[in-house]
Amino acid sequence: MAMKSALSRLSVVRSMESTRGATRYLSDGKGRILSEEERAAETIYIQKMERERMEKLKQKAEKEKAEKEKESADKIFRLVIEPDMGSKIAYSAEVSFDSGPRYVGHMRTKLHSVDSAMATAKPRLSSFSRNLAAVPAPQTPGLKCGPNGTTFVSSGIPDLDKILGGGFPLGSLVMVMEDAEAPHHMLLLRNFMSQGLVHNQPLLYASPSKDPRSFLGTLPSPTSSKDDKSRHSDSEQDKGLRIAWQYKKYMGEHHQNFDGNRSSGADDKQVFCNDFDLRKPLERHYFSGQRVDCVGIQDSTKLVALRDHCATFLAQFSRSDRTEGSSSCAGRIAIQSLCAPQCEHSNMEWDMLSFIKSLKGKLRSSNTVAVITFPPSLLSPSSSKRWQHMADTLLSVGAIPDEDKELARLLSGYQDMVGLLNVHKVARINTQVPVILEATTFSIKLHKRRFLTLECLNQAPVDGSSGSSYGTSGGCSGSSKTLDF
Amino acid sequence: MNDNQSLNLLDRALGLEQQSRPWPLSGRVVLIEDRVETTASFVLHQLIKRSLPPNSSNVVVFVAFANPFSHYDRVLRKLGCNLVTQRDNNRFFFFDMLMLQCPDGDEGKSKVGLVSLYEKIHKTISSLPEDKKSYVTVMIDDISLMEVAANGASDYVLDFLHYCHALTSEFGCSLVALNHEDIYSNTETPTFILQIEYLADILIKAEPLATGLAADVHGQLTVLNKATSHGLGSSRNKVYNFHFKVKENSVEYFYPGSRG
Repeated sequence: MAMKSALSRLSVVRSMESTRGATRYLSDGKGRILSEEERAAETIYIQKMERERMEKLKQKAEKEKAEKEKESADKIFRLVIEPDMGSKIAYSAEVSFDSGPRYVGHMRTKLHSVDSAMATAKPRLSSFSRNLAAVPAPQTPGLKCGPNGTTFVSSGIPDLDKILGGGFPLGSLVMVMEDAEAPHHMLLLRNFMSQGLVHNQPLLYASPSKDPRSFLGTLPSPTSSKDDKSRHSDSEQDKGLRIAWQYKKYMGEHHQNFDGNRSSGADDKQVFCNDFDLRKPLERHYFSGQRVDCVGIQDSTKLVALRDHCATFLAQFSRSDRTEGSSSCAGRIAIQSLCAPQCEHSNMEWDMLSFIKSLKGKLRSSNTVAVITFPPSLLSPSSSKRWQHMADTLLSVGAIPDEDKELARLLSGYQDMVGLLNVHKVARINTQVPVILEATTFSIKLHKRRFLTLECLNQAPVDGSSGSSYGTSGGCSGSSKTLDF
Repeated sequence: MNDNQSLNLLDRALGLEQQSRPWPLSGRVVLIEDRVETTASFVLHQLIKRSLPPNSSNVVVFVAFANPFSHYDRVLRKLGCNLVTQRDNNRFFFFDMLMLQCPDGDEGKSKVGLVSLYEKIHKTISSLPEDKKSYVTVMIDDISLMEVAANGASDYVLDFLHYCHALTSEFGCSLVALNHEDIYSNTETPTFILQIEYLADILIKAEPLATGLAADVHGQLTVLNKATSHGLGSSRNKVYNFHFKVKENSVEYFYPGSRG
């Protein structure tokens, strides 16, 4: 038993060493948290080191086992007796490491357990991706089957798709509450529209601006699949936990399953959700065709023009209840700032409400997703609540103040944040179960100043003295808007 | 009536455990209120299921402003109730009002307004055989969308609800309606919601927890069961309070703190 305790002590020491090592890598001595690239590089380094060490140990174990199989019996006895001399426990443990087959055996069982863990992890992994694998490949690119007979289209932001459980379901109404002073909703709108154009889905865009069509020139362009791939492996490394190396060899195939529809396809057309480079404008040929309809809503009284446009647009995609799911094509409607003050209808709240209601009613029986952005502060409180109730998926975006010292101290990665995204409601079509997310507040960041990414808020470590950034990073903000932890 | 075991806290709070009458809610008005954060549509679904037990002849008249039939059909099928069959058996009447728009002003004259909707409901109920009439449940999902359909003319909506209330005394049927509480909480004189609350015999409120939503607790229900005029017993209001967790095939109700 003493032997056992010595061994466990040894392993404890070892694990302490390894964690200390890891934290040292992470916290840069002075407690400063490293930037993401640096951290990624270090994660790779740590992974390499760990792998090498494990490899070495394994080899050693094999060799020793082969050599000392026969001559071991007496030594075991001696080793078992030896540790009784209290103060020498650690030392004897070292001895046992050198020559004791018992330890070797222990080591081997350890390795074995790792292997078995991997073996058990494998079916779990596959069951995790079952939903995607079991679903037959969609006939149309850009559509994905979801639960309860719904079909998803992508929001144009890979992270948002993941957060919402697949994307925007067809037939749903998505509302984005704008920050009245910041244009963050445009980021969501642009990606949503671009994704639709890339998938060759017809688009209806309505905006209060004088020349809505000019907005198309600001749409971001999808990255080529090669860039795409490198970026994904990058981010994968980035996020890789320190233990993830164990599953490394399973990562490849898992990826092909999981991301098969995303990065392995050489052709852009096969991708469900592209990454959009915000610096590159969308090529003209995407929106030069007849598929894009632009409407100005500034001076249409009582929204009649928009209503007509929506009706004719939705008529292309109507489905009867019977043919649900056999959707061949999907459409997208993007309406920007529906209640903008420059519009004539902006003070006719009931007209806007009845427009939304009729739009929603028609959406439900068509293969279309509509995204409406609106600044809730411009509506009366009760009206704004009504709008929120009508939304199937309700998001809100907000800017973060530039020099908010308190927030900067509270959140890690504050410097890279562009804004915050709140998820208030996730569409519940054909089900009564609400979607409860782990976190509802996400930070909007620009990866390499090009790609829009969403991340959970990470609480910054206090003073960085403990260096336990991994321990506390789980603490994401709750459901409230104010960042209370 | 062997399903006494399957009655949950909400059923008990609604008084559904009473065996004396075939449909305990008959003659009563149930109002369900919810918020943006917590939807209470699951209460409606449960009441549909309770109103349509397999070996009875109860009837549900459903006025839908929020979702198409396919949605309710899918949800209820998971709860173990086939709405298509019930519809074919004339036990479930579905009025799809998703596209209803009544221009304000000429309410009485137009053929698509709330008046004609009420006439349709009335006709449906009175065409039922005599023994079924008192086991009818009229359900409205939801009142705030009805207001939108009436273009903000809440008086028409109130009139409609009063008419429906009259049905409960005329035929002895029950009325169940869903509304959103937070829409009215900001107005200075929330006359509209107060009037509806006054009509209601049973008020069910769904609220999020103060500590936010969790995966195990989706919110809390407060059920206010107003005095029954039928019994001779005590006439004080009863308040029930419990938490719930919504699942696909059922809803779990439990007292606060009784779940780890």
